[in-house]
Amino acid sequence: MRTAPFASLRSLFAITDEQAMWRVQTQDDEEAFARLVRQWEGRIHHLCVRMTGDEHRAEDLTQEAFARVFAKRKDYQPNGRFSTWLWRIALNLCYDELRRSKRREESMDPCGETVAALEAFVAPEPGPDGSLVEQERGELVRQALLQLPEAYRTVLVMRHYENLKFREIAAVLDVPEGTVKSRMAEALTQMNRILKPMLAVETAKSLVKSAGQTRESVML
Amino acid sequence: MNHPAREEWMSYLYDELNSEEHTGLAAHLAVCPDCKGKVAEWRAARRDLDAWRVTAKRPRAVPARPLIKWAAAAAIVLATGVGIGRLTSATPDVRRVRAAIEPEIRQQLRQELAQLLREELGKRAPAMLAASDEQNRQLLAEFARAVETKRTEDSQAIYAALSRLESRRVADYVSLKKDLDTVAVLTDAGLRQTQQQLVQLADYSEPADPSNSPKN
Repeated sequence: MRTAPFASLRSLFAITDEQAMWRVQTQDDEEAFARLVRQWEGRIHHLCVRMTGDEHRAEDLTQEAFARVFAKRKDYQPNGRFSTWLWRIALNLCYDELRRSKRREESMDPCGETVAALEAFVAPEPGPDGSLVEQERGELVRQALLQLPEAYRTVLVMRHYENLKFREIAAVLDVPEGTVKSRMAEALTQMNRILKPMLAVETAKSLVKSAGQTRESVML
Repeated sequence: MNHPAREEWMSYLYDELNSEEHTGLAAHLAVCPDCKGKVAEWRAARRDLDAWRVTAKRPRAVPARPLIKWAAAAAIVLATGVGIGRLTSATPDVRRVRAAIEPEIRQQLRQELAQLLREELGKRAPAMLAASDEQNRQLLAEFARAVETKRTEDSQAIYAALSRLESRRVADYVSLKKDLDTVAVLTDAGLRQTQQQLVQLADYSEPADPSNSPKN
């Protein structure tokens, strides 16, 4: 609560994203552009991670998204919301990346060895607090999400993780709000179907492991 | 039983309904096992999704300048608030502090607006000047055209007047000449008459004086 007055004071002086983008568009204002990057790179990075499932690649995609914003600054329509335009640019980059990586997988390794290698590469390491189970569950969700069709994954990521309203998602994707909601319902249904058996196996494994540990400690 | 559409359930799950709609769906959920089952599945999926956490992106080194700027602005506002608060009362109240800060904020806003206005003017002024220049040129041309027309009309009027004068002068001349001719003719006639009278006078011989008449 202590920061509230200061925050409202700040907002008095702050310019909106649209004003900042207008400055970038008309005056090539670097400070305004830096402000937009600071404001949005976190969320765009999250979107790219969730969409591609690859944190390292997501960093490049985030940078690419802002480079594209600057390169296409003259195309920005000042009557639209800046965020809608930015989400759309980032999403398109994610789609391109997914298509590229799919082609790479198909051409490089028809037996799926690369996928296994990739999965090993991004497999979670136990944190300092030893929260391995939690991380393993997270990894399963990541893999399950990658199995969803793009259209469903997009809506799910934007509504559930990025917390956009259905109407905002509809504006980004340029589809009716009802379509967004029905895709969301389908996405949740499919996620439940994919995750249930995966998580059941995981839970069983961890139960067996903890039972083994208990027996060892008892024998000692 | 009429089941709500799954689109409506999505709005319900993500809290995008007004309270009336929300209550309606919640009431349905309490009595409909089918919908309850579906919603439970969606809720389970949502819980599972939360297990995947993405580490926050490491913030880049923020340039010092904006921070200093903010610190300076905060310091000014704070100092003004505290100063005026102390002057007015020992226990500062929010309304007074706000009243004290307001002119400062207004001042800064005004400066920023003025700056924007200046920039805008700087950009627009050449265009406006060019436009007004063009307008001036057009007006001048129009004016020159009007002057030319007026001048032509005037000179035509002058020519007309001159030619009227000329014709009157000619008429006068003609009538004068006629008069002179008449005078000349009359004078001529008079002269002839006089001449004749003179001749008659010369021819006149006194009747013969018998005393003077030659004697033959």
